[in-house]
Amino acid sequence: MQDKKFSVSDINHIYNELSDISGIDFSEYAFSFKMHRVLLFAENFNIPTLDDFVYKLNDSEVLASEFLKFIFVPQSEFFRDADFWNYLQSKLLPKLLLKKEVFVHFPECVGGEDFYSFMFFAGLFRSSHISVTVSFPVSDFENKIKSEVFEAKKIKACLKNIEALSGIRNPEDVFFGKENMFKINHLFRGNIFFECCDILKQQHISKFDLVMFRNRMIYYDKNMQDKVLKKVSVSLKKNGILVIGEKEKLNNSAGKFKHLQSNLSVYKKRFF
Amino acid sequence: MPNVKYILIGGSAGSFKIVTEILDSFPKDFPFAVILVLHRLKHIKEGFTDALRIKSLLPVSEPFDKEKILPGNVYIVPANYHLYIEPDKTFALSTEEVVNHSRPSIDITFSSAAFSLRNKVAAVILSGANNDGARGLKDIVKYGGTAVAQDPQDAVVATMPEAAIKTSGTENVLSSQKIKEFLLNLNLK
Repeated sequence: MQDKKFSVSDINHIYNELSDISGIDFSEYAFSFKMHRVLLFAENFNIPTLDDFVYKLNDSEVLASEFLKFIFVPQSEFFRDADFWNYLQSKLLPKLLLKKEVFVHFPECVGGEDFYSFMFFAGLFRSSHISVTVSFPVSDFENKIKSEVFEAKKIKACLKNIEALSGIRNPEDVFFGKENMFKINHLFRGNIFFECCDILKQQHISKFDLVMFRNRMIYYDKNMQDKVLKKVSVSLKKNGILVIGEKEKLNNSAGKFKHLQSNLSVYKKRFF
Repeated sequence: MPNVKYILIGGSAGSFKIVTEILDSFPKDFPFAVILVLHRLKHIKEGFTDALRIKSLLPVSEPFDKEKILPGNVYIVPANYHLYIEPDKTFALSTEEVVNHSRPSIDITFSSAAFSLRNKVAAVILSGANNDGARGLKDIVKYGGTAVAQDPQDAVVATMPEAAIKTSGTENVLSSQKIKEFLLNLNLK
């Protein structure tokens, strides 16, 4: 398939088919990313032509489900964002945890990495009054997300990074286990809530103190980014904090957010 | 020769010196947008772009997601991100899985640029120790762009240009000195 020439409509045709099957609208996702995912998936599953791709999507629920999951990118690379770690540990969390109860949201979550990275730092403060909502866009993700959130499967590989960059030596504050199998401490487990939702269709209320939204919007086009940001903004309380990826920019034309740290993408909601 | 507006340069091990020489050769009024896809350490953010900035009369920056590509600018792909070129001539970033053990992947940027920019792009593969960029350069040829590879005999590490030449079939195989001249005279031929 790599040797063929494609047009924009060829690629959009596949996503239109997938939208019909899944109910998820991909029309405002970044085009080149969508094209790459199609070609990579076709290569992985030996699908020779785009016509075959469309046929298989409609013919096989399993393949359609696999492709749907394949489109969403779980890697967030939080473990390499040392600047943000330091900020989270030294400034953001100490201030947030002065509140009686702290509500944190991970929207459009498709992997556990950001969540359990965050919990490391939350655990440092031995705080049990953090309530976390993890939202994911496709119901097929539910078991995967829960497993990654609770079991923190990649932690072993990240321990050296954690220790080198933050000085944290005791993951047992948050997780228990041995060797490669870690599980989140029961102290935190009861305060984690999961929901499958379409971020654009859901009715948001202003209840979150912190929204962790790193490197999720990069897969949308500009128009969709603006629409999603409006929703996320509504979900934050006044003075709530929004964290996005280091190379993402906030459309702040209405002045709704205050940039808190020049070298980091951390913003405070100023007003409703 | 088509009216090229965008120059892509992909490099890995052994390419940094020639990249700085190429940037050093570009005049202040160089009319192209230059996009550098260089393999770099994932967790080191500081220093790399500054080092390139010293050698360039053109502004050098790491683009933000959805930033518009402007002529007369040098863009370097940020550490630990892939970079796509969108059909509307903006950048789009991604944290997808590594490709050829690399993020940024030269293949991803080159292939998306081939599709989005067609014959308006000239792409160069320099020294490197893996096959990244070979498929991307092939796409550059496929969609009508101009493909160049550093002469493997001139490269510090020959693997990457060798793979690019073999996969893309490009006949523009040039020494580092000739690459500079080629890029400076792109639309004059």
